[in-house]
Amino acid sequence: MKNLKTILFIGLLGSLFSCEDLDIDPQQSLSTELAFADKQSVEGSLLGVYSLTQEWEVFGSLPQVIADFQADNVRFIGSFPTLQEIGIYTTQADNVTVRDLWRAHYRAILAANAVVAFTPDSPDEALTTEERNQYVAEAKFMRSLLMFQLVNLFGQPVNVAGEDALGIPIVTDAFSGEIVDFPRNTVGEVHEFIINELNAIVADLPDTYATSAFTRGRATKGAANALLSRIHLYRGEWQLAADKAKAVLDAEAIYGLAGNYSFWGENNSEYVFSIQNSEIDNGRTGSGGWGSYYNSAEDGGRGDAPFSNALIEAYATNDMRITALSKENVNGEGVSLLYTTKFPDVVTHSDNSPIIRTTEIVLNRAEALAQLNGVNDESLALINDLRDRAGLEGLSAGNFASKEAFIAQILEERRKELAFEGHRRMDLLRNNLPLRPESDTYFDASKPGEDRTILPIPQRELDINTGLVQNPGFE
Amino acid sequence: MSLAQYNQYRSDRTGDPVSSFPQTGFDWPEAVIEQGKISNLNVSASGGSDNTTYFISGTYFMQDTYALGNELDRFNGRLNMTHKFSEKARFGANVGLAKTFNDRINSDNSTFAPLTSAFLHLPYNKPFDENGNYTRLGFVPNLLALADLAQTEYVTRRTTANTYFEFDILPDLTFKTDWGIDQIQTEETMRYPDIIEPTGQGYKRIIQDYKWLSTNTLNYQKYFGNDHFFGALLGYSYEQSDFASMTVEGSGFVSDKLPNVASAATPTITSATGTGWKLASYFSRLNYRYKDKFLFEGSARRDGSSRFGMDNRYGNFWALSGGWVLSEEKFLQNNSILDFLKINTSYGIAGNDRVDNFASLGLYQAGSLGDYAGSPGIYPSQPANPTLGWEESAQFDFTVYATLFNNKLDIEASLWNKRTTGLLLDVPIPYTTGYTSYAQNAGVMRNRGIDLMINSLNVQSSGFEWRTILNVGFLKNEVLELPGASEDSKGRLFVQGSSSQRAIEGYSVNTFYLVRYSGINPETGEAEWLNSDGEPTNTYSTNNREIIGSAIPRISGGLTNTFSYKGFDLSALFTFTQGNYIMFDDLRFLYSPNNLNSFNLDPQLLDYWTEENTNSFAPRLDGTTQANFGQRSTIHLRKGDHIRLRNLSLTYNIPANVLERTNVLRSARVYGMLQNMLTFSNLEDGLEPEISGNGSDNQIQGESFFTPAQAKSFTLGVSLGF
Repeated sequence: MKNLKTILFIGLLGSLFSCEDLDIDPQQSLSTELAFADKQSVEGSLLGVYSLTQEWEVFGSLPQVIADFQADNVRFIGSFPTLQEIGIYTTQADNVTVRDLWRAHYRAILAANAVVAFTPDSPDEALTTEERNQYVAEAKFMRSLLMFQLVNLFGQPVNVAGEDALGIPIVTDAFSGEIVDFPRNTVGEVHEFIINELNAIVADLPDTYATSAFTRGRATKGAANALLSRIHLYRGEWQLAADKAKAVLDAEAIYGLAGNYSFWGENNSEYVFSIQNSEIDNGRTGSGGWGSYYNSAEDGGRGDAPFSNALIEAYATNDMRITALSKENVNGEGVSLLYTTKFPDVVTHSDNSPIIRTTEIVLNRAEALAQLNGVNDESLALINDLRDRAGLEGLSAGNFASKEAFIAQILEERRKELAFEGHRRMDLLRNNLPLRPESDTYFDASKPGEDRTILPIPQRELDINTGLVQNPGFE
Repeated sequence: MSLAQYNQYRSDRTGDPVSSFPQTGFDWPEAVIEQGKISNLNVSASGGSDNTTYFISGTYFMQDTYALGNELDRFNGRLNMTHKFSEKARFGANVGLAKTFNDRINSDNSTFAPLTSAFLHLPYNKPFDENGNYTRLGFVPNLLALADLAQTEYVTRRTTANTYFEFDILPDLTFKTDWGIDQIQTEETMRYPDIIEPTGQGYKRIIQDYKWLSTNTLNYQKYFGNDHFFGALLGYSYEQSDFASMTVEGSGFVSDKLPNVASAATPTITSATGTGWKLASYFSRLNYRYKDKFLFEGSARRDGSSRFGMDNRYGNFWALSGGWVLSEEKFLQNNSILDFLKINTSYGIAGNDRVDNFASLGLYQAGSLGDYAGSPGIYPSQPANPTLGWEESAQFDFTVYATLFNNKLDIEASLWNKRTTGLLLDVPIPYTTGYTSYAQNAGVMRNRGIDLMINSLNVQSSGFEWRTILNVGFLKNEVLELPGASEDSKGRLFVQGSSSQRAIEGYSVNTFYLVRYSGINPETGEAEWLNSDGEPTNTYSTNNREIIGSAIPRISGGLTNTFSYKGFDLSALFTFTQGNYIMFDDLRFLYSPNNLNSFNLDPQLLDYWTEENTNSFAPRLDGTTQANFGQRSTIHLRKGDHIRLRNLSLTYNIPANVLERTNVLRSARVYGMLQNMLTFSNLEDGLEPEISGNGSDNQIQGESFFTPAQAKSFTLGVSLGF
């Protein structure tokens, strides 16, 4: 017994003087150096950029649903005060949803900047120069796409306020630890940056990838040209918009209009670029998501975003874009509402986010050519393809009294094709059209150039970045 | 609002007749508030021999709270024992076991919380359809279906144990080694039926939090002569925590009767994670006492925390104190008033490492936020801050202890000043960095205060006794420096905590910074706020935010009065708080006219301005400020001042001579207790001054989102000693 105690005592004394080791490695994270140490981690860092855009606030439905309800496609009946105020044109600078939208975009932009900055110097020799260039080009495509979405939301369109209107800060470096008070660049500068960047990277991007999920869900030559087509269209640079659209549509093996509306939910030729979601990997939050906005409460969604009456009235009764792509719901109060069926997965939220569809590129070209040449056969043929798919009769040149009437028809087709995908707000503003019909309470506030047709720079950012200036009307 | 009020308001707003709205509804608040109950049973025993002592106890506690679907069961067991091997060697062990079973639907900030959603549900939403089946209500769920059909269990099992061994190496020198573990296992099981989450959803999370701690000390204590006592302590301790969690979630069930995630068609989360921290400390202490009249103590320690960067991992801390028992001096001996008087003063520096486990590292995180299209990915999650180090607090204390009037009055008063440097704050940085915030040693803060404790026996005569205990603390918090922080329009440096509050240089660390609401203009019927010059304006603008006040109370404390007579004790405890503000974020929902058709609303909105009702709560319905009336401002802020009768109890102790006759009972008492029966404050009914929101985040205090009121309870009890 006595010996036992002595041994125990010595043992304990020994432990007393043992040296401690206070180093612990995090288990779910890597240090920044390891994140670019080899090919797999570089590719992981790149995929992380795409992944950050799955988020609700980026391509996970929030900016897109705002674009449809601030305009005239959606009658927003949701309960989120921060979304309500955008819908009734009383948005405040401290709107937390706007704040989070800004945050999530820059988070993804800075992740892209890190890929741009660190990929060329990755020590792994297995990574070829070609691969490095492609990864950098993909990251540059993503930050261009993100900056374009931001500048459309936070800056007045060029046709309304010119190239010198306040845009968003262009941030291209990875975060170094030094906090920089980035000022806002002008809308013109942001556009120029994006156009230059996209033109420079097209050559480094592939046409397709090994899997269809990557061909539709990662940056390609087609996606870069498609985005260029959209930017030029928004800027009224018709010839460039038409040319870039043609560059996409000429790749017929990759892109083409689907024959009917069952293309939704699959990776097929209808999609130029769509953010890939799955049951286990999507941007839905408790606050919202494609499936929750666009499905009724009785079906398990939030039911926030049914068709507006104006949109229902816009469709002919036999237009398959409404008959095949909507669902009626009678709510608890006995009121009948119509919801789109483009995002049916209200349970696991696996619907992809449609960012650029072949249909849009067809419409871009049709519109740009109409602007250039007035009523013309190619534009007619393009929209007749869409009308044919919708089960409607084709139109002919004789239907249109003027160039303006023809363009109006193309925009109307655009609205019906792309409803609920986040296009409507910019399509109206860039054509100097008010977001709401004349009968609407908010008609005056919704006119192009009005303060609250765009979003305020988040108060939180103004508070801590003295380089920023608020949009007029939000001070 | 009731259904009738809601329909009236809707009709006033829309112009449609009341008859065009649903005429039947449901009283949700009424349905989710029930009579709660509490049972508590406690048994303990102690005993032993010359060499061995033991104490065992067991407790069972059951609480069925007043909110629908919330129940708590807790079992506690404890065993303490000591054993002497010899005169020189001693051994002891303490073991505690606890199991808590909590059947809870969420509380506070969740639409699944009964006391949140009951107030948000539109009054015409009904829990049952015509056939008596539950209805599916969406975002704000059907609470009755949730309480009835969902499984929402939260089980915690905790084992705490320590053993120690003490050995007298020399008569005055003792070695002690103490080894302890604290193991907490939490199991969260949720299963939502089809009616709440379509196709059903299941969720299980198991968290293991395993801590161990070892403390080893050498303790020397000796009297030199009769007057000089000397003590010294040398020690080393090491503490380590390993934390692991496993989560699975799935959706798509054939039937609500299948409880486990394994039966789900689609696994939506399959996750296992781990983290940990380590803390190592070397410490020493010296004591000297002269004739129990003068007391000195000095201590020094060196702590190392795994949370900080390599260069700032260790911190050195120390403290000195000195005391003088004046009542031992000749000039105060034989004083008829004063029984005991001591003054004590101390100064010391202590460290704090309360930051996230890997707060100093630049990190890329893996997981579904990095993964894409079925391939693994990573994303930047935290910027590096290699200089992150210990927060240090230097505290000065001066305390007076006095006992007067034959021990009838005890007074303890202390004056203290605490200056914290290298204040650990989560500092927001511009989103254009790609990050939200990072932990920084951001500034200097001062807390100072006076603490007072008075224990007085006011009356003592033939069987009647009246005793008063007063505790009161006065506190002033001020941020002294925030170098490098953001600057507001008036040049003040600040670190933002939430949309309502910030730490501001020269002000409290939890300063409410809000637009001031001024009221409805009786002439125009429009809502008015104050601009920065204090002039009323119809324009709501965040540029008009001003410093309003602090979330930290200036005065807080408690007052107990006990009256005893012939075995009866009547005791009343009042607690009080003064000087703090509370932001009721829930009012932002209930006061917002924009929420018509989305949520239920506060009945005060019916009191809107008209030509006949010019002194109103809400603006005119067609006014330009109607849409902004719900914006964040001081209309949602309240003073937190209150006095609460926390506890009122009446106890009867059965007299010893009665107990003796039983031959079994050693003591027995019966009691009745009322809790939280009265609250005096300026708050409207339903607003609770004691709030829990954001509990541990020291940058966000005093903000509430539907914090339920403290339960008013009535307890009857019996306590028996054998």
